[in-house]
Amino acid sequence: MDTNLLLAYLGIGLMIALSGIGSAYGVTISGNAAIGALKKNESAFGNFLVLTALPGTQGLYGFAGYFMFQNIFGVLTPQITAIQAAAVFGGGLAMGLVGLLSAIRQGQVCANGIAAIGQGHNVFGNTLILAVFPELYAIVALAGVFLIGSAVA
Amino acid sequence: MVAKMKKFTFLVFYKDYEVFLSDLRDLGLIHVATNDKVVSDDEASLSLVAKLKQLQETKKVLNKARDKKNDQTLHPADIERGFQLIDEVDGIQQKKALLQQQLQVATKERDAIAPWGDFDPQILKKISDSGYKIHFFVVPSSQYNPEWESKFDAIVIKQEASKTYFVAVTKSDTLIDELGIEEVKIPEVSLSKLNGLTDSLKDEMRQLELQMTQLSADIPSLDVAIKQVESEITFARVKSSGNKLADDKLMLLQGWAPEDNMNEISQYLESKNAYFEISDPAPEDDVPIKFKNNKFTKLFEPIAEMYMLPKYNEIDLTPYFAPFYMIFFGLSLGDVGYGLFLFLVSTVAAIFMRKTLSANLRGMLTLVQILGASAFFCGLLTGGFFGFQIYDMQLPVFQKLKSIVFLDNNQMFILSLVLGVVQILFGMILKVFNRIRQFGFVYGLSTIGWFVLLVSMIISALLPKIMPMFGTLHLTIIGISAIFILFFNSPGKNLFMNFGLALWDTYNMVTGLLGDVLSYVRLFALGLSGSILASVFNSLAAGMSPDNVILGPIVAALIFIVGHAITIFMNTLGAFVHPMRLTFVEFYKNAEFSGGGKKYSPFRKLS
Repeated sequence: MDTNLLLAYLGIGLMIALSGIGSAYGVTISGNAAIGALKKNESAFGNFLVLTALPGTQGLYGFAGYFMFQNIFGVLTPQITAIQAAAVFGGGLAMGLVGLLSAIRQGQVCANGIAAIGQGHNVFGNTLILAVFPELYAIVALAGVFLIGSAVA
Repeated sequence: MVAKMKKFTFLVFYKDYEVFLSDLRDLGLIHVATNDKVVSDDEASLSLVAKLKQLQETKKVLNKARDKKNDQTLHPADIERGFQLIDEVDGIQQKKALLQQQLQVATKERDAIAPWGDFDPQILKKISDSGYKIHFFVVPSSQYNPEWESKFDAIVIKQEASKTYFVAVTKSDTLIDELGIEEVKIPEVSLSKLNGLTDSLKDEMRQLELQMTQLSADIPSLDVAIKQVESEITFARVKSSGNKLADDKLMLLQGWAPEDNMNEISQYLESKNAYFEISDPAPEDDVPIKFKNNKFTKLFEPIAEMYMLPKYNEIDLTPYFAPFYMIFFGLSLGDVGYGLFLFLVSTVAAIFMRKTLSANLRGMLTLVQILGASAFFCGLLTGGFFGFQIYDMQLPVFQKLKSIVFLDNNQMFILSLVLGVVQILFGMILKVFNRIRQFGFVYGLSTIGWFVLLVSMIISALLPKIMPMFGTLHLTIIGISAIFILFFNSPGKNLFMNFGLALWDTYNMVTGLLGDVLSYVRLFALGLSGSILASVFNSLAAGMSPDNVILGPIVAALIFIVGHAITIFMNTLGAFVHPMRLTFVEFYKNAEFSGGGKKYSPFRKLS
């Protein structure tokens, strides 16, 4: 049914868009901090690069979620049922929202770490560990999308 | 493991103190217990710190000036030269700043005169001597009134960027006031002269930069000077760590050294006639930590150091998390091809840069080799190879392998949780040993209770035939462990206190364990999302390349290479960081790691 597919694609759209926007914000927040910190400590660019890249994963998870529905579960067809469409929409919404907010928050953690490194504190390892705390929930959301998908496929 | 340490106490006559300290430095094995202040604030130390800053600043400037394209040969290190460089570089920089200022002024003047063209200002003077005055004006073109040409003898010189530049030739100043526009001041130097000036200034700047580049060949001298000053600072700090005794006649100094080096140290010190005592560390001592691990575990020490060093009387967890970390990395990356890639790159780097690499970096490369190999083998579980599925190929080898090791997504999901349970239970065993070692046997009992309880639950859930859930045997075990949990969780306190604390403990344990185990889902999710992303780039490479015999393969190859470069970077980063979190948060918490030890850094000459 066409309306079912419409609902499913709405979910897919939200998943890719929101998590992508989140990552874009996250890497921008940490990237801005990195540029400022370079002024004080240009030798730590390698560290900054790694920390700036961390919030970039959420966008990829959203994209990976789309591919799961498309290729692994193969539900995005005109034969999709109402339940399947609702599952895709729900999973997509969850992944999108969690990705959006966790990436922004992760970007802030990274930015603070970058600022501290710029001021000469040796907190690279600590920041790495703390920065993946928010990311766990994006990972859980992706695992949730996977479970939802396998339940209805 | 943490190396055993011995405490050294030295007693030195104040006159021999400095000689003794340099002897100690030559020995290079004693970690002196310094006070927390990084530098003492007497004048000598402060000037040393200032000197160090100057040297580092100079080095920064010279590093920037270095000609990176042509490999400039470096001059041999000479410590005196290093100190001279401070003033030389400073002088050049000051000159440069002055030139920069002059250049700015000249450029400004040139810009002001440029629209009027090149003329000799002397001519203006001659004209004014003969009774005529030339006035210069700039107005927006829209305000320019052509009537001025007859009224004030205005002559338009130039029209540019909607501005009109014109001069008015008059005999008296009153007419000009009538015009009501402010006159433009003209520099008293001609355009060609100003051009010449800026060129020569730029030339001088270039000369100075060249000088700086030449000076940068002396960077090695700076390096030795920096080392010299740094070691002087350390010396001063160690010196100020001694306590004065007996009317300032005696100095008391404390230090630490590994037990393994004890004989060597005693012999050396006895040959120097120093008075010293060796003792075992007391529980309240802040003993510096030196790792003493086998070759495999040693590779994981840098990871352990990223978090915290253990306390001296604590079990060092590095050997216990190393195998887990290796497997976790492999699962998170989860691609045969990426694993192979990491392994090959680090192997090639290790072979080709064998001579130039420091011991630390070599250890890192070996670590990457091991982690790459782990990703290779863990990748076989799912069969991803640069995003392709090797088990889809009908080769007998792969099909045979598939029947042995292949796990589908659901099985991988369960595998990651099972690994979590295993690591957490293992952490609990370590916690028992840690408590027994640090506080005594009684303190380990409640954790033993928890461990037995959890294991019995797992056994009766999985193998109900051997031990039925909540059967007599199971209930007995639960009962015994409950006694341990409820009444031995904080020995020394009274029964009710113990019971109350145990309830709180139970709440934390139940909620904590659930969260901890679920946290291991990341191993599955990272591996899955990584392989999906890799396969996405493969389909992009196949789908987006144009239908052209020559261009098609090129574009496909480009997408493939760039795409996989991105995924390798992101996935490796994730596979490196996430297992680290599992180690430091989930595992360390359940093993009750407290940490906070200082690193053993002996007082020695910097080379």
